[in-house]
Amino acid sequence: MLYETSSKYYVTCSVMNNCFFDKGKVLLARHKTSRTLVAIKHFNLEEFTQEQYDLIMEEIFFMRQLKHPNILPCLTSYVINFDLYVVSPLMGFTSCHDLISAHFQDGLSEIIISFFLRDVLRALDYIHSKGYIHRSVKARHILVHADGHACLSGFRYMYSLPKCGSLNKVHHFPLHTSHNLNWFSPELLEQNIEGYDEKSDIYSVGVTACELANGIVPFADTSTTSMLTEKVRGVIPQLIDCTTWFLHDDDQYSKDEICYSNENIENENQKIISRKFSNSFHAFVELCCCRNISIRPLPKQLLNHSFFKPIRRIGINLQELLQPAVPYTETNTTELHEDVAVINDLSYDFDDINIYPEEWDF
Amino acid sequence: MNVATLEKLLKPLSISLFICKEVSSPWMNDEKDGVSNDMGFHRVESDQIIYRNKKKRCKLIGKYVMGDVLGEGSYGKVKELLDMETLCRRAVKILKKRKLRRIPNGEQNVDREIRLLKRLKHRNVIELVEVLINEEKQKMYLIMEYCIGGLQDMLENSPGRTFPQWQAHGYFLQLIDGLEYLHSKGIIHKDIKPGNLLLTLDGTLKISDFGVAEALEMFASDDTCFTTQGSPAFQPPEIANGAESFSGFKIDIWSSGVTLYYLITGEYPFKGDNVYRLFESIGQGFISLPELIVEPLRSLLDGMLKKEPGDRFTLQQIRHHPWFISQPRKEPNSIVFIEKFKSEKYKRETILFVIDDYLLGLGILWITSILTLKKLFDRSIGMKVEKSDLKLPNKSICNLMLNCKVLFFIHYLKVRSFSFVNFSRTAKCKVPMYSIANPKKKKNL
Repeated sequence: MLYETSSKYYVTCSVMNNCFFDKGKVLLARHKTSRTLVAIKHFNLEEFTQEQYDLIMEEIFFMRQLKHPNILPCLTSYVINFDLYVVSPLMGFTSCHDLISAHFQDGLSEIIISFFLRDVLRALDYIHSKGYIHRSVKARHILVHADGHACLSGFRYMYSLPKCGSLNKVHHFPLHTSHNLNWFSPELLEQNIEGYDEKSDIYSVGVTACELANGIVPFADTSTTSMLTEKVRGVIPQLIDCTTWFLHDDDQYSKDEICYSNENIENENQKIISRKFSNSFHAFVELCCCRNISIRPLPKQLLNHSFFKPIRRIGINLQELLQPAVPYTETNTTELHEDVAVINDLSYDFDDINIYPEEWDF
Repeated sequence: MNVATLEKLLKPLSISLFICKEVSSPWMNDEKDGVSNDMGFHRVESDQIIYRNKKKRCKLIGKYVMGDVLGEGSYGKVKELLDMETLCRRAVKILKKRKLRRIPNGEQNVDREIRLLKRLKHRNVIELVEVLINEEKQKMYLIMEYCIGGLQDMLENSPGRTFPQWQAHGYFLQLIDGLEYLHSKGIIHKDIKPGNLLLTLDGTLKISDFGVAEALEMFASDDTCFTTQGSPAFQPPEIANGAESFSGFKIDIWSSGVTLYYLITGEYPFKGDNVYRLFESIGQGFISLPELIVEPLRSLLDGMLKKEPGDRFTLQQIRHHPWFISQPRKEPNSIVFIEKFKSEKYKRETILFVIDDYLLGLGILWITSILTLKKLFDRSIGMKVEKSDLKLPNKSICNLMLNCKVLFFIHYLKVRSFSFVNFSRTAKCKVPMYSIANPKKKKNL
């Protein structure tokens, strides 16, 4: 299938999301020739610094180089004046982060997570086999197709492993990524002489698992520095359920005092406290986030983990499980404008309109 | 300090404190009762302890946390920094105006260094990240890329005071790369020496210290210079003989030659008891390469250390030289490690202490529950305790601990990160950090 490199061939349906530090837009569009829906990332290059520009270039380069069912491909990309358009297939359920913030504030269910993480690990296995480290595995970068399979994206921060030499370690510290810090592995954050390798991605998978299950990324409210000290000391992120909820699990510990202080918090989180994740899920997270790198397994080994066993049951319909979330599909989208270029002008126009409801003067 | 005063102290920080009634059960009993010793207590080897004379206060400059001293120069100290936003390690050169005034051309040199470094961006040239000025303290902070040390320190700590040829070859290649970039930008470094060649964590060489460097005029017809302030042992004969003007690029070639000679033999090609004798011997320009240096390296050094600047190799000639092109055989047994010259392993720890103090001061730690140690150990059964997690105790917190005889469980409830931090590390024995790793096993017990 050939995707044309001109805005004429794409009809915009809506603006789905922002991306890249809110400097880019993700547009839902219809490819005129094939009548299929696509997602188009639109960047205005004028606003970018050289470094940001390089990051986008890298991302397109990597997307074009990699080919795997669980990796978001780039169908085509083109530049018109100062606008860059990157066309990729539509991921109906958008990103896991969007799913959580829209419908699952308390986190996704275990079976859904196991499906997503299996796909992520497959993608990682492929990326590692090509000699790269992904370095930014997180819910925001896991996109879910309308049929339920997940794709990994966010290749901006990918780094290639040195191919020669006995020490396959990387020391490069990704700058411009202060929003990714919570997912980074302790050995990456430490920046010491030992460096890090592809197992750093596995740690990120563990943190992402917690993010998907808890609805919020571990260390979200902590300052970066205390997050660093905790990770370096080997504190393992936890799934929150009835077994790990500290204040709830044992009656023998002076409960009166505890209840006295934390009543509000408990009421708030009743739903979280009462649920229970399987032991294999807890073990999976623990294994991924293991501080000792030699114990931490590779993606291939992790795929055989008992956490993924329930997937093999037949008749699981992810679309049903993901309700009330509804994917973008052919049936529920309407076309807005003639071509992609128009929506930009339109959204800019909206910015210019100032509405002052208080200033009515009778 | 007793419990009541502690509570008073913590109140303004909105830390809620609960103390179990049965604090009295002394934890040493557990050991006697036969509770497994390696469950919680770990002996600290004496070499693991970093002794600190005074308590370090957490210092912040802008968004950076100040860490350990990396080195010291005539202008001031070089310290480690941690960027609090990106958590990137940096180094800072602290310049005191008072001290700078005492050094001839001190302030001018700093000014020039900053102006030059801002223009430069290359893999083998040190990067200046930011310049901060504190008018009140009359201090200037040059924030740079983090390097773990220089070739000079490394040599001094290596057994033979020399590098094996293949390792020196690797560094020399990078030096020439960086030098070529500088010359292409019209910058003459003038002070190339092992002490100014730093290494990053991954072993990339960085040319640093542009204090005496000179940028040629934009439209200068050639590379003629009139002044130099570099280290005497690395100066070429034309300067030793007191020439009024000389070719700038050739100075860097000569000092690179001396540097290479030094890296391989561990000695200077020219010696003298004092600067006059040294310059006399350099001025004669006669060198005898030791027997140990064989072709093709011999002819390269010979070409770089030619007395007449006109005869001396250019960068192009060096690039095409057989030794430069060759790939000396790797001898992994003879490698000089970077780690060896600094207690790099512990460097990280000290900055963690500093951060601890900082966080405690802010009152970020939210203490929700305190259990007796006995209960702690009940819980700890079935938890995995990894050796690599052992960290040295934080003194200030330990003192608090000892005085109160309680254990803090710090629990970021709000954060939902659900991590337990155990601050019960004491001066002599310590409980390692862990979280409740495997609740299943605990239930079985």
